[in-house]
Order: sequence, then C-alpha cells, then structure tokens
Amino acid sequence: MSIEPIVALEIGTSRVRVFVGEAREDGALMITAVGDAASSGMRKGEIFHFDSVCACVETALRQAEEAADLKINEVYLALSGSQIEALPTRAEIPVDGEIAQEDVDHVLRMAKEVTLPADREILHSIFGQFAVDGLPGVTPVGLVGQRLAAEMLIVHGVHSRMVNLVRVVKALKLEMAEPLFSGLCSAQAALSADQKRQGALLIDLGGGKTDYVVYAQAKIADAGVIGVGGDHVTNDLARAFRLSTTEAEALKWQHGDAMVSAAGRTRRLPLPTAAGEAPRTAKLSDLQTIVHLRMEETFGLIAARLKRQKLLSLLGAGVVLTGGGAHLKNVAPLAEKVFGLPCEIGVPRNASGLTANLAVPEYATGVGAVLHGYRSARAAAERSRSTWKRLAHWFGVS
Amino acid sequence: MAANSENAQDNVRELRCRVLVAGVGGGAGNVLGHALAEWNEPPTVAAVNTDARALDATAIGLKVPIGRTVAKGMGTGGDAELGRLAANEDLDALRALVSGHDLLLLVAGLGGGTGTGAAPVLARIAREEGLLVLAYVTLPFAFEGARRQEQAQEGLADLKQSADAVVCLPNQRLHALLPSDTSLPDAFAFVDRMMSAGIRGLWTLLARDNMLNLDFSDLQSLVENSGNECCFGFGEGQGAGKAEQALQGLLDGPMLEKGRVIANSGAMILSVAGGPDLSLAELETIHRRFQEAARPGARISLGAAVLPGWTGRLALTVLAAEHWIPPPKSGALVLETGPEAPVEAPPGRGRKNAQQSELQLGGANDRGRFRDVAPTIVEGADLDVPVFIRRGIRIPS
Repeated sequence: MSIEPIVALEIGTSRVRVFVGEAREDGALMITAVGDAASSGMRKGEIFHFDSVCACVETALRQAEEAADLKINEVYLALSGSQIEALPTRAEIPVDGEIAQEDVDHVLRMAKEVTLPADREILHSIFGQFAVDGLPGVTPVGLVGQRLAAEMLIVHGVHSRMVNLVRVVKALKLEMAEPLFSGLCSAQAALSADQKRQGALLIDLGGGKTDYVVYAQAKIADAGVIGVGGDHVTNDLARAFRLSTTEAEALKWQHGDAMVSAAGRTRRLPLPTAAGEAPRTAKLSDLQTIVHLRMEETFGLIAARLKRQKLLSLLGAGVVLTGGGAHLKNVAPLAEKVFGLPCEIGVPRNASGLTANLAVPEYATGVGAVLHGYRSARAAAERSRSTWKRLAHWFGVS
Repeated sequence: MAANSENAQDNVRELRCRVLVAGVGGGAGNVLGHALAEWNEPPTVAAVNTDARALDATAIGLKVPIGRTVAKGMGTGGDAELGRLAANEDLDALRALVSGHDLLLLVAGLGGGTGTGAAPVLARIAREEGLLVLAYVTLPFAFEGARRQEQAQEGLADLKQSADAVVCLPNQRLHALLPSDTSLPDAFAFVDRMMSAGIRGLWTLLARDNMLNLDFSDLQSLVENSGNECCFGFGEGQGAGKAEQALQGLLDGPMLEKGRVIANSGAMILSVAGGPDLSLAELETIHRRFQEAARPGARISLGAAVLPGWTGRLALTVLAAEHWIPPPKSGALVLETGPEAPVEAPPGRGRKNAQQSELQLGGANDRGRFRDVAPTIVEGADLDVPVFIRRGIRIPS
C-alpha cells in the first residue's frame, strides 16, 4: 500500500513550520523535510495581518519543497487560538438484545450532535468510550444489553478565526486535507501510549498561546487554549524595563527564568540602551519575578480548570511540556510546583527517522500533525475498518 | 560642524527617554520645519510623506517616503484612504523608524490625505513596538470646507484608537487669538509656531537634565489615563512680569477656553522654560495659579528648564487631561514569589487591578503589543496586561 507524502502546516505566532513525512518500507513514518520560517502578522495564535502571514507561510513551504524535492499540493493544518475549548457529550439509546453496528453508528451520531453558540464550529468530535447497561469501556458490537451509551469530546472554536487560518491555505492555492487542533497534534507526537493510559496533561507553550490536552481514564478528557504565550512574557519584560519587543525577547532567552533565585537578588544585568544613552541595569530577581508570575498564572489557570473537573488526581504520568516555551529555564520545576505532579519536557517520539536536531519540543505540533495525516491516510487505505474503529484508532488510546 | 555633532552627542547622552518626533504629511512637515529652526539641540525628527517634492524641500534630515507605488511620489490629493494605503505599503520602514525609542511625538495636520490616513497607521505600528504615542494634531479652519472637517474628524477618531493620547489643536480656537486682519499665510504660520512650541516644551523637559525634571512616568501616567485625549496650551511672557503675562495669556486665552479646560482637568503637566533669571517665586506663582484654577485634588506635575539665551523670557506649556481617570490604588498585596520574601506593593504606586483594567480604556498601554487584538479575558482579568501590574508589584523593585 503506497501513501503519498504527508505535509503538515503549522502557522504559529512566532514561527511558521512545514513538515513533510513519508512512509518507510517497514510502514513507519519518517520526517524527510522541514521548512521553518519566522512568523509575522500573528497575535495569540490568530491572524492579525493576513498578507504578512501568507508571505511567511510561502517561505516555509518553499524551504520544505526544496528540501523534500516535492511540489506541495495538500496540507494538514495545525491551528490554535480561536478560543478553542472542549465539551464532553454523552448519548444513550435503548437497544433490544444483541447490539449491532447500526446501534453503534446511531449512538455515535447522537453523541456528536451538540448545539453550540452560532459563532462556533466543531473542529473535532473525539470518541471517548462506550458503556453497555452502565458498564464503561466495553466494545459493544455483539454484546447483549438494554442501554447503549457513547461518550465523546467535542472540540470547537470560533468559526471566523479558524476560517481565517484556512483562508491562508486557500490563498496559497493549496488543498486543505484537514484542520487539526495543534494541542492534539502535540499530544500525538510527544505522549507515549503508556502516558496516555496512565493519564497525562500535555501543555504546549507556544509564542502566542498555550494549548492543553488532558488524557484521563484512557481517553481525552479535556482540551483547550489559553490565549497567553511566550509573547506575553516578552511583553511583560518590555513593559517593565522599557525595552523594544526585540530587546525584551533577547533578554528573555538569555536570562529568563521561571523561578526566582536567591542569587538573583544581588545580580544586576545590563539592559540594552540607545547609542550614547547612560547605561541601565536591572536586578536579575526582578526579571525572574516577572517571568515567574506570568508562567505561574498560566499554569495556575489550567490547574484550576482541571481541578474543577476533578481531573487533576487522575494524571498518573504527570505533566509533559512541549512548544518553544519548554526551553525556558526552570519551566518544568515551576510546573511541578503548580500542579503538584512530576513534569518532563516532551519531544516528538512517535515517528522514526528523526535526526537529533528534530527531537525538540517546538517540533511536537508539526510532527504530530504529520503523524495524524499519515494514520488517516493509512486508515483511508484500509476501508475495511468499521466507523467507530476509525474514530477510535486515533486520538483515542485503543 | 564637528563641534555641533559633539554637542549633539553630549545631549544624547543626557537623554533619559528616547524621543522620536515624527511629522506625517505636508502640514506636519511645516510645523516641524518651524520647530527645528528654533531648536538648539533637536531630538530625532523625521518627516513621513507621500510627496517626494515636499520631502526634498523640508529641512528635516530624516526623510521617510511612503506609498511610492500607490501615490507615485505625489501627494494624496486630500484622499485619506490613499494616505492609509501609502502607509500600509511601507510598514517595515515605519517600524524601523520607531524601533529603539520610548516615546513618539507624532505630529499631523488632520483634514488632508497623508496626515489623516497615514498618522493612525504610524501610531499603531509605534504602539506595537512598545512606544508611548502622543499625537499632536491640528484640525482645519472652518473656511477650509466641510469635506476637510469631516475627514479630519474621522482621522481624529482613528487616531484616538491607535495612539495613547491625542492632543488636538483646533485651528478655529487659535483663530480667536489672531487679529481679524491676519493674512492666511500668517494664520497658518501662527498655528505652526504654537504646535512647535508645545512639542518643544514637552521634549525639553523630558530629555534634558533640568532644574525641575519631568519624569517619563509622569507623562506616561497622564497620557495612559487621559481617556485618549489631552488638551494643550501655550503662553509666553517677557520682561519683569513675564510669569504673569504667560499665565494670563494661557488661563484667559482661547486655547484652554479661558481656563475652563484647566478647571475640568484631573491631571496636567506644566512645563516652564526660562532663562537663567527664572526664579523660584515665578515657579511658585505658576504652580499656585494652576492649583487655584484646577479642580480640587487635580494632579499637577511641574517641570522647569533653564535655557541659555532666554534671559527675560518665559514660556509656559500645559498638557491637560480633561477626561483623566486616576489610576486606582491597590490595597497592600502580598504575594509569595518563590524563595523570595513576600513582595509588598508600595502604597500609592499600585496599578490597576484586573477588574479595573478591563473597564478602563486608559489602561490600554499596559497591554503593549496586544492592544490592537481582542483581549484575553479570563474570570474578569485581562491577561494581556502584565501580571506584575495587575498584582500591583513594583518593578524595578
């Protein structure tokens, strides 16, 4: 079975990336090319200036095309922002005796039917689990029972904002394979099957936004976006020390630290100044405090959401951080403190052929999107699978 | 020339706040040309225009031509939409112009094409780059026609959205200052002179080591909480009663509507420029007179500069915010920050709390590069505003 090369496009706030994946002879996926260009015209994961975004995407596409020696026609689009959030749904139907495939299809259709506010659109309907007569986690076809229930998670976002991202793809005369929530992509690439089974929280720290995805009790239990990212840290520093965005960004990567150190109270850092301006310095602990407060708040918001849904105690595998923000010094120790769980930095793991320089947290989304595309293409090639299996094989854990 | 540039170097060294003065359009070019002629130690001054000939003619050294494709090096023929397109064509050049500065004093004559259309774009770019943007604009005289008036009003509304505050000088108000037989060129020249005096007065106080310095944060506080609109007045005096004369010209004159603007303002900045003979008694008089004229509890900041060659001369510039909303004092917030001792917000220096920053337009500057995109509001807090500001933590500590 031959599968065309899979291309994923990730339009981020700080970078635009294109990943090309091809199937190896043994069926495993190999990333064969990456296009990686600076992004402009994006704020908080959403489009702020359409033409700039198109130009950046074009640059990244050309890079990838050249590296892969391939004309890109179709992309999987990893998107975020758009106030993406998740809604758990449940549907139940009476059944009479042995459960048939039609019953399963019926209950799944019902579980997918939700009424959302007019400006929102469904991005993913993710299968959770079935229950027969109250017994969860079963495979229903062939079982005998009276009530068949299905649980799903509906991931939805603001229609107009997602459409704007899709419009970039159209403007560049590309076919759209499928839009994907970038947080789910990152989770596909960075979480192992074991971590998903044990329960894990994936947080993707992007430039403009923070995605999170929760696996609990062997299914995706929650997902969402917080419109706060690395740019906010930069902006906070720019505001505090009267720096340009570029200067603040450089300062963040050179000395940024998510924890306040005792040594920071005595150490002073030189601040950039204009030619001839009197030298200025800042206390390292001030810088650390600003970064700490911002990251602590972001993690705290996610922790509060999980706590309300009683999910925090179900995360046996702890927290996994991906995205460029995972490079921030001491960000994992801070997450451990806020969530009270072990935390690690996640890198793409579920695709082979990755060279060392691809195994970085900021590539999780793109590689995850290729993985998704690859598995969908493979599933499409094997039409024999039943509807629910096709839904379940991906995002689910089975 | 060598001595001059050395001199300029010295002045730059003294700068505590990196000021950029930029004039957008032909009218602004005239104002700044006028200002430069009287300026001993000018800051960075730039002319932004679609009209290549006007740019060639100006004395301003830093020239930023915009819209070479859409306007083809000509003016915009009074079309504000063309002015806007021209600026959008050269966003990178505008970004390069503003980057590395703290404060943009943007000057534009509203009513024409380039000033009206391009100024809001420049203001937006500057704020994206983290600058505080104060726009000085003129509105047309009534006789310039209804179309210019209308276009000017639209431009003003745009600019209020994109700048931190707009200082608006209606030419019609100045008209009242002029004798009725003033010729048209003289009337325009007078407007230019008023504007340049106002800009110079502010810059002098911010950029030099003065007798009484004005802090950038004073200006920032005024501008950010001004409700996007400031009023400006200028008066001068000579000889023995120079302070009285300047005060009278200002408080009884039409620019501040015979003192009504001062009576309504919650906060103002007074800038006094004088020669070596400027006395403390004069400063006290000025401060007292404004205190009497202003409403009780108004915040008055005063700065004074002594300029060589100004003996026997005094100029008074006022920047007043009629719609000023005082930044609320936060309670004593105590917060654990890692292994550090709890940080306590110093009384009176606390910033807006979350709820208030959501309600206040004046807090827009705290949102920095996010001010032009939809805010991230979670549980009533605007997450785009730095956490340390929302929690009233003073940085630098």
